[in-house]
This record gives sequence, C-alpha cells and structure tokens, in this order.
Amino acid sequence: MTEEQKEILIAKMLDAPSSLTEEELALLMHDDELREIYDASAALRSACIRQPELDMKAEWERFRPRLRRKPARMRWVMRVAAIFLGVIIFSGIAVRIIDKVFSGDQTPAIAKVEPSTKLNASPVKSYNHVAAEIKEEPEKAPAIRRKHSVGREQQCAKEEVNESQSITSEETQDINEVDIDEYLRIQQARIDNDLAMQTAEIYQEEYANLAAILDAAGLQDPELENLIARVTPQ
Amino acid sequence: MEYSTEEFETLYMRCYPPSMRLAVSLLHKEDEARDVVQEVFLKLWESNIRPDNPEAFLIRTVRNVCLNRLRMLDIREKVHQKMVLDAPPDDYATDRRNDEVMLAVENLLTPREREVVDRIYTEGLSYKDASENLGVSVAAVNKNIVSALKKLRNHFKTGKS
Repeated sequence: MTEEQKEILIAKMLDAPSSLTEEELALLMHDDELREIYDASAALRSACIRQPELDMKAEWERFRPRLRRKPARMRWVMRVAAIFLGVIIFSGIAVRIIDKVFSGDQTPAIAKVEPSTKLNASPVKSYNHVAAEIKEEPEKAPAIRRKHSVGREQQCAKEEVNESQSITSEETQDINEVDIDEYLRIQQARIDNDLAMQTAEIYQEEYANLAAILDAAGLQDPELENLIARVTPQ
Repeated sequence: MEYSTEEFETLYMRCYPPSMRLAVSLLHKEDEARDVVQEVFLKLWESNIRPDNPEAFLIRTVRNVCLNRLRMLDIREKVHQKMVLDAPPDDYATDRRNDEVMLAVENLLTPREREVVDRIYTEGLSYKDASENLGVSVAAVNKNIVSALKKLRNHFKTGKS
C-alpha cells in the first residue's frame, strides 16, 4: 500500500468512518502503521473529549432520591428465614449421615431376596413330570391331565393370592432394600417361568385333544403318534 | 457497616467527578457515562459495604462497567466513535495517558496542527467544517491531522520502547 493510499484511508477513518468497507476495516486492523495511527487517534479523542461541567449540588440532588435501603425489619425477617432454612438443611444432612454411618445392618441387600427361592420351591409339577406320568399309564392320561390341569389352576390361583400378599407385605420391604437390578431380574425370571408353564399347558391340551380323537376313532396312526411326540416337549 | 446519607454525600462529592471523567473518556457519551457512574454509586449504597479505599473501589468498578459496555460494541462501532480498541492496562492508565497525550500535543505539534486537532477532536467538527472554520482546504486539514497523528504515534512508540 502506498503512502497516498494510506493517507486516503486515514482520512476516511477519521472523517467518514461509516463509509469504510469491510476490506478497508480489515486493512486498518491488520496494517501495523495504520493500527498505530488509529490508536493515537483514539488516545487523542479520549484526551481531548470535552468533559462535562459538573454542578455537584445539582448532581447530588438528582441522585439522592434513588438512595433507598430495604427496611430494617425486612432485612431482619430475611436473616431469620435464612437461618431457619440453614438449620433445616443442615439437620437433614446430619440425619442422613447418621443413618448411613450408624445403621447396624451391613448385610448385603441381595442376601434378603426370598421370592426367587420360593418360586423354585413351588410344588407345581413341571410339564415333563406330567408327560412321564402319562407315558407310564396311557389309559389314565385324560384323568392325569385333568388332575394336573385342575391342580395347576388351583396352584396358580394360590400363587397369585400368595404373590399379591407377599408383594404387599414382604417384598415392599425388600424392594426398598434390595438392589433394583436384582429385583428386576427376579421379576423377569418369574415372568419367564409363567410363560413357559402356560406354553406347556397349551401343548398338553393339544396332545389331549389329538389323543381323544385317536381314541374315539380307534386309530393307531404311527405317523400321527410321531408328530405328537415331536410337538410335545420332552 | 453502612454509610449514613451524610457520609455518602461526602463520598459522592469527592469521587463523582473523577469517576465521571473516566467514564466520559472511555464511553465518549455524557449521558451513558452518567448512567454508569450513578449505577456504580447506587450499588455501593445498596451493598452496605464500606471499602477500605472507596475512591479506588469506585474508579475500578466504573472502569470495569465501561469496559463491559465497550466489549458489547463491534470494531466498526468503535472505529465510528474513535474509541480505544484495547482496554487500558490499569485503573488510572486512562487518566495518565490523557495527561501524556495533552503534554505531547502541547510540545510536539505545530500551532496549525494544534488548531486542526482542536477542531476535529475537541469540537467534533467534520473535515469540511474544520476547513471552513480555519479557512484552509480539506486536503490541508487532512495533511495536518495525519502529520499530527504520526508525530504522536512516533512519540508513544519511542516512549514505550
């Protein structure tokens, strides 16, 4: 940039800064000499700017009405409220800490999980067991199936009642203490077990229907027997 | 410990003028400067604190509030108002710098340059109005201004180094 161009740019910067383009502004900021001249100009402006003549009495009179403090009583109430809140928060924290530190029960919560063991100890016979009984005594098959079916329904009804009772009494306590993951795992296992048992019952009914048809027709179709054996879970 | 109204009035009378001078130097606008300074005094009154050195406290706070306002402006706006681009290094730098600049204007510039600087920077005239006022061409006004600014720039550059 020539000296002449710089002088034109300085003139523009000082006399008509609003007409500076973005490029000219960038040039001003990035050219060391131009930037230094701008800084000198800004310092000159700052030093030469006409300072207002202050009438201090009038200034004070104008300012004085803005001086307001919160009433003393209000401040006192705020202080008491702050102290009160502080005490409540502090005592809450203290109680929590004492509860954590001095509670004697250090047994891991997982050890208290009873429902899963109860579920496994259920007296309800599995489908395999029923299938074995039918195999041993084919002539009593319908009776056995009915017995187990009725037994299962009763058992399921009892389980539901027991479960609902135990949920309201024991488990609600356990849930509070047992790890939530462990609790969910137990519930999932229970659901899986119920599903498996219901599926087995469906198979059982289908088998019983087919067997009844065969009995009624007096047929002994080996292929059908094989098919039944295939669809029946072992 | 709160100020009584009488104590605060004394403080106001003593500290308002330098605070106002600083704010006007930085913001270049009297109304905006008055607004800043009164806000700062009001904050001190409401805070119920009593600084060890109230004058230094007020000057520093006024400076910080002004610089915060300047930060909100973009480069174009600053250039338009011929404002400083960088913050002064300390609380009293602006005052010191202003004194140095005025001394340099007095000692280094020719009478014609001083006249042109006075018209442009103190009275805020345009090049055209200044040229008419002084009875010289616009080109002559520009030449004198550029010459004056270069002298000042060289003076402060050598002063710094």
